[in-house]
Amino acid sequence: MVFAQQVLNGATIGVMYALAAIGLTLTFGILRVINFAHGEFYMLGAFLSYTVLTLADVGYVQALALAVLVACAVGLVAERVTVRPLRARHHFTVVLSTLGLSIFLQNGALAVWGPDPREITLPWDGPVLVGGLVLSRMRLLALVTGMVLIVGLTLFIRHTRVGMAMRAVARNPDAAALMGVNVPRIYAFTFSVGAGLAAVSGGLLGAIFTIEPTMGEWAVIKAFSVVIMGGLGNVPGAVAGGLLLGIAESLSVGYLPHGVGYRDGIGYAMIILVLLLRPQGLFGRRV
Amino acid sequence: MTVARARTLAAVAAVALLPAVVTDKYHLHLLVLAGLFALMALGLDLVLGYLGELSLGHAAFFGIGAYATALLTRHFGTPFPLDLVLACSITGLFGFLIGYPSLRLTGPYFAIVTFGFAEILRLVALNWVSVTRGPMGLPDIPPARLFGFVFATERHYFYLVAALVGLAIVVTRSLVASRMGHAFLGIRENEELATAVGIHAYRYKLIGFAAGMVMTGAAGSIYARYVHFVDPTALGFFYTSTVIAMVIVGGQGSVRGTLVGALLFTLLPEYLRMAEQYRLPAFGVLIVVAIIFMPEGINGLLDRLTARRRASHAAA
Repeated sequence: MVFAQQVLNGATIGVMYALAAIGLTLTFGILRVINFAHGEFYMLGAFLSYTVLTLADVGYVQALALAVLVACAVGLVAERVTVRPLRARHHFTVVLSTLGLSIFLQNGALAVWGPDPREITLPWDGPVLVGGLVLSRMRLLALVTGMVLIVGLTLFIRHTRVGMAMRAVARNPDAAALMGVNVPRIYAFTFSVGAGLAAVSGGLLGAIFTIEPTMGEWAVIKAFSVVIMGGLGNVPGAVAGGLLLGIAESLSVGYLPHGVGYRDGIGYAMIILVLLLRPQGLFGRRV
Repeated sequence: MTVARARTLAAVAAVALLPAVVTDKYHLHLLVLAGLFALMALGLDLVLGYLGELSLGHAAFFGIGAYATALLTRHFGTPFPLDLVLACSITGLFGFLIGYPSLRLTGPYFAIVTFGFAEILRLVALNWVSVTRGPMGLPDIPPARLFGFVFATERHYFYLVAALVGLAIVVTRSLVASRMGHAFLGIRENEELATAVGIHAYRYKLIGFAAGMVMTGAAGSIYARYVHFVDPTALGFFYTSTVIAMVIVGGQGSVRGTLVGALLFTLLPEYLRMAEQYRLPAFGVLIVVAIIFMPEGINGLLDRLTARRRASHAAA
């Protein structure tokens, strides 16, 4: 019973990890950019939701939606300013640029909100019984929202024209351009969507745990762990990887001594193991 | 005497006489820090600038050097400079151990793996309380002592650090000028081609990486002796990103650039203190701007300026 509870908790967090990871893996698959600032969009999702909730008299869902829209906008600007000018250069130039962006956003948040942790308290939160297991209402909301978004995104990529354009650009940007795809626009759109997904994840997890401006650093590594486990550019892999990481962490906290202190280390250890033994990820194709 | 040799002599003289001009403790302290950062940055530049790989775990090696000295002096009373040598060796060993599996990967994969290793080490420092005392850190690290002379003031440490930086510069320059150094550059520019020509890329990368980490460990060791306290924040990503900024903005693959970067990023935040909360976001902006407009860093800028002056002189 305890085991099943741990698995459920882990799966809920895992879905959040998967959301954040999908954004990162899309950005890599389509723009070929490793976005080190990804965690900061996650953080913005949390902080913007918090700010809207404290300033305006709106519900949590509206606050989250607004936060995500703002994060998408920031993502658009970021892509235009820090990624696009460096398209032609060596790949790690872009990576360093995103690192700079990350430092800017993280410390900007510190300057605006201060270092103290905050909490998003929701009056309607409370425990809910799901087949003998306990979940808070917020966690249930997070789980359901996450699953809906993942399914929606997969359908979008598979069945819409824009989705097809994205897949084409991921395969071969030049050929896609020849076929009439507006490649720079797809790049901007993808980056923005990635930022938005990270923001949703941050906004949801932020309502479950406390938030503070450096949470992005923590989140980006989780997202990277998942992306590497699933294979860079592989969306279903990211979903599987997210669940795997979430459940592994939850079980380690439950069953390993010192589990809590080293919980985050599980992700790092998994990255290292996968990169050394199977760098294309558990589900990816040959690197 | 050649121009280069005269320049070196002038530089050494300038450094030696600096404490006569800069006498207040605060600025000397900044110079000591700049020197320590310079050591770290030179170590990173070996990997980033000459080998062409981005290591995101740099702070961990600084921390290893610092903790090594802390533990050796607290538990065994290891004298200076033996602890420095041991700390460097231990850090170099870790560099080898971490580099061994990681250097099979390149680019973003290598960056992520090194970050992972560094964070694991930080978690160990934080949680292995019986050895490292966790977040409480290791205090009361004795100052360096040599033949009865105690390094007690900022001025003393300034000379010690300057000597080590000088040594690091000599080592870097000779390494780069050697056959191995040329191999490094070949690997950086085009690893596949270098391998095709018979350069054993992996082996050279491993040596270069370990060498860079030895320098970084030295910085950590002296840091422990200087501030007399070590805690897990020494392994934090903040140091890694600061040193990366120093190397990139200063100019990667160049000793002069790295030194300029180290000085700039140690002094600048202090002078920007009035801007307080905005200086760190400004850092981030600076990195992005530098990467977009100054891909070769300040050093590249200086090169271009001096080349233009030379060209206009020749034309006149």
